[in-house]
Amino acid sequence: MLLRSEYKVKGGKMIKVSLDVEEGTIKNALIAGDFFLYPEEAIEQIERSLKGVSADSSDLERVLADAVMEAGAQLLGVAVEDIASAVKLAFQSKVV
Amino acid sequence: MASWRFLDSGEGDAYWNMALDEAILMLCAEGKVPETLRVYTWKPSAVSIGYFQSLKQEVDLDACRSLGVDVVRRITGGGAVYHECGGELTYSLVAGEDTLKAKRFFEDIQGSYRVICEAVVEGLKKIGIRAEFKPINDIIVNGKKISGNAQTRRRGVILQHGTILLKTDIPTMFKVLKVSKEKISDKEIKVVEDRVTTIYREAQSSVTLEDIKDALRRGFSDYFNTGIEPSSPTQDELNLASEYRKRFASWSWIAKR
Repeated sequence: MLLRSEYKVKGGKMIKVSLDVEEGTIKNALIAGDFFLYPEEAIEQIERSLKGVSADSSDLERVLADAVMEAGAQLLGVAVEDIASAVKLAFQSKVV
Repeated sequence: MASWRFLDSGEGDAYWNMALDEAILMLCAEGKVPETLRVYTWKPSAVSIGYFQSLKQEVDLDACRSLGVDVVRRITGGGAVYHECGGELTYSLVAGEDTLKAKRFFEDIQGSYRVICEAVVEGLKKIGIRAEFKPINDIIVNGKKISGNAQTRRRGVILQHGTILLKTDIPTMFKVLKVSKEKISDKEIKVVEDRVTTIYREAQSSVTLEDIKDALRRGFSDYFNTGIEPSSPTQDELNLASEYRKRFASWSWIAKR
């Protein structure tokens, strides 16, 4: 099933998360929005890191932070915690 | 290289405009062209979306088709912009990070937005507009947005491009961008019109597009304390841009996310 969220970060940027979820775990994730991330291609590595993460996962933030660090990426306009919040919000959303 | 280049590439379509910015960036990163300030406009009108944005979530493709508005995905992050033909001017700066730092020190990516936007502010001052940088990536006049900016880097070279509003067509902007349809009321149009402003509204006297371009050139020149001389793209840049243009115009790139 497809779960979605729109999360507005303090300061104005928007994160739009789409999760393809099967049996409570993420199969595919799209982290879209008007934020900045350099290098840009790192977004795919960050999205891949969410594969297998479950709704009740306690280390969502750590998974995302590790992926950002491993990609040598820098976020601007959003923080790792904001992306984690957007993912949690998607898990709480009604099925689209 | 001591002097920077000023390229006025005039009107171009969305794919060419984005392709030439990337070509300048790549060739500057290879040391084949100097620091470059480019100005350009969009014909036909187009929507550009940020690298990370979802095409279907941001753009009403049917409306674009019926209004003859092109759609392009940028290599830079940030939000969706409606580039109205005749309604805005875009600039791009390609410069080595170290070159910029030596002229105007900054620490991080946010700092690099600040200094480049302050050069734009310096340019606007020359046509009598008192603007200021507003983090993360905006330039405002009396609290109202007049310019949005976005950047990326290749091998230590920064590309920052930004749109500068000359006038607004909020009703068309609402049609081509996916703001929720119930929002498109006269009241909502008024709300957005109150949050943005334009060169033609703020300038002390009547200014032409040429005046604005020259003001930007002088603003960057003064702010970064460097000569910026009118020039033309090199054959390498034109060839590379033609190559890149195919990617920018391809559906697989536009609909990538």
